[in-house]
Amino acid sequence: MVNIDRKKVDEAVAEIEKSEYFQNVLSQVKKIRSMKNDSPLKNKINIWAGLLAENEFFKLKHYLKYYEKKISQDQLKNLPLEPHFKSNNLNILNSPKFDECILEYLSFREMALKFNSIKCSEYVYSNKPNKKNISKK
Amino acid sequence: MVKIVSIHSFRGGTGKSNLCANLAVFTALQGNNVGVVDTDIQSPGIHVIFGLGKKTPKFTLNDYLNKKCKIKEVAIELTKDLKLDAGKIFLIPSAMDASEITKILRNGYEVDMLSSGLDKLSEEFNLNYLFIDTHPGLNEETFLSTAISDVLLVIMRLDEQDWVGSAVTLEIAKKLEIPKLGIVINKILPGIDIKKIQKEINKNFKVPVAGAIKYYDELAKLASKSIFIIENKEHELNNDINILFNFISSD
Repeated sequence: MVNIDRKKVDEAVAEIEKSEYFQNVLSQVKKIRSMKNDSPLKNKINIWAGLLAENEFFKLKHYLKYYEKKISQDQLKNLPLEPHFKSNNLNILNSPKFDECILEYLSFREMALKFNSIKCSEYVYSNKPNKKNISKK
Repeated sequence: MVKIVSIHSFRGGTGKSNLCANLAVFTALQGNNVGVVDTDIQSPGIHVIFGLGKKTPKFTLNDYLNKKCKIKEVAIELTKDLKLDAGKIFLIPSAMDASEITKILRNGYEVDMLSSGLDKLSEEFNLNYLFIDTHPGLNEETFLSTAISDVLLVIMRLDEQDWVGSAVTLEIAKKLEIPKLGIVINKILPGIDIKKIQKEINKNFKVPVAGAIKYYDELAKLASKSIFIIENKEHELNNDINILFNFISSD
């Protein structure tokens, strides 16, 4: 005989509903569902995703890896950054908070790609994720 | 358009991963392209059932969630390994390495990262169905992975310990507005009136019973070494899985 204690169930559900993590999930889920139904936004995202050709993605990834591990803080000023591309923008790109639905972040990413495509770096990056592919000219 | 199906249970030992693997293979055999994602990051295991127990995948779901690779780099096609004569099947395993597991549990991940990854995966491999094998219980990771589903199947046994937790899970799923919910009663022991039990569960949980599966000794003896229905095409379990497939595939 299956018999559920509904009072116990309702109390547990009410407690979960009040919790921060449930509210967090709920807000993220609402955002995803509205994005799925928002075709202009989806198209915009697709356009931006198209701009990120695979090769460029790997170049950027290698640059970020290099930036993180091999340059000490006092050498940051020596990085061949494009004048309007600030180093903290790179941090945003590499942050778990990076959200491709935020246009500001997307513009940082575009700038990073532009930056990496101009000939101001003394380093060459290959599109294979291997340390050997980062070499000096 | 891909249909995302989460297979979840409140407690461990319900046969969730085995059911997920068999249902995914059955769905592929109907001529579908199927993905199976192991979001049981804390205790991954479905890769063993798919025969990858001793192999180390190049990338895992954890690598994608930690932004170390693209989602398509994680997918492993198993169609040939499983000798499927119809459809295609891809597995997206979780990390088996303890440090990788800890890292993702400590830092967490964002639901839209997982959701956009699943979208990309579906486009890349032209998937018709995507099965998510979740971690048992009620925690944030579970909510995250089930909330993006089109169908949620909650697996339970006829054990009082499963009831309240499963009922809470289903109520939360309703709050998250998951479009379709179903209960699967698994490992039903001989002598139990299945129809009567189905009726009682339906009445108590206010959620349809998607399937009722008997305890099969031969499935237990296989001990998750492989996909049962591949080697046992005439077995009764195929009928049970067919009923589940009809439930998830109908609108």
